[in-house]
Amino acid sequence: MSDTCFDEDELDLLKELSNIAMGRAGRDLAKVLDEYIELSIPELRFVSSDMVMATIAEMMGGLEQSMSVVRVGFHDSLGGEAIFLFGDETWHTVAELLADDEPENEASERKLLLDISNILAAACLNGLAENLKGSVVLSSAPTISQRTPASLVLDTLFSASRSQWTKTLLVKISFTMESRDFKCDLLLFFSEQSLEGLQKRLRDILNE
Amino acid sequence: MPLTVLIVDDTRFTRRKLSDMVKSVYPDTVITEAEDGQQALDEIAKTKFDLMLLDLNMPVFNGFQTLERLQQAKSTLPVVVLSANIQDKAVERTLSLGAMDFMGKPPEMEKLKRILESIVAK
Repeated sequence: MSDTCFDEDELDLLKELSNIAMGRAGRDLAKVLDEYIELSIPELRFVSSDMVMATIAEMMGGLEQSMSVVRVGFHDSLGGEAIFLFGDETWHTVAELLADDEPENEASERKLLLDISNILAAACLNGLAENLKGSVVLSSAPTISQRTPASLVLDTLFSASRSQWTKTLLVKISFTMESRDFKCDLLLFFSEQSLEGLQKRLRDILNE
Repeated sequence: MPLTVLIVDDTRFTRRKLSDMVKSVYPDTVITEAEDGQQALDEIAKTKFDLMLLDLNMPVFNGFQTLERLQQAKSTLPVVVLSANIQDKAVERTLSLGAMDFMGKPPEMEKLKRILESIVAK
């Protein structure tokens, strides 16, 4: 089990760096959709593997609703997984904003949600890694589950990996639109192995 | 008279960093810190500041709401918004609500120095 324990200053800095990375992601998405994106205040939590589902449910206000879930792995100076949870109607909004002529079916929904996830993951993770004076590589094969109760998708996802970790750091960021049906929650999980390196980078910045 | 600056941000790191940056230009500056828009408005009610550096994405009152309150109160306090929210519409909205300038995060020393010099010159 990792004994990495971040102090208040380190968490405060990581919150601000996540905020800056989220801002870049919001800007990139706003340019693509030509629509203002509301940004949440990033939420940071340490979670143990046995409490991960309860913690996510609490942060999300429940996990029973149907969602589409995209999972993007990342590695290099930072390692972990970015999990995007989209409200069921979000892709309609995206298709409308992009004036997409594709027929509305599962394949076009899948393509749009993967495109949005890639835009947000690239801006967010590259921005975060850059601010931490590191780099990150995104996995080339994101996975997606469409219109499924979020609890089911996440439980399946975590039951496969739960034995490989005990404690990790979770950052939740939300992207919404004020006047349209668009909701995307991003859960960033840092791998247990990357926490020590992350903490060292935060300490270096605080000591500059 | 020393410069008086109100720094409003919900993260300690940014408040400290901005405070250090301001003091590196004008070491005698009197800095007051607030963690959200409501605290900022409380401080403005008590003290006359030369400049406010204001974040947007904060709990309680965010930066937009704080600017709206200042506009309603016909405040003449110069406000520079400093935010991670760098969308064009966020910049336009802050300027339309009366902010004198907008800086993306992380803050740039040269731009902040120019802003401080323009405040002192007035």
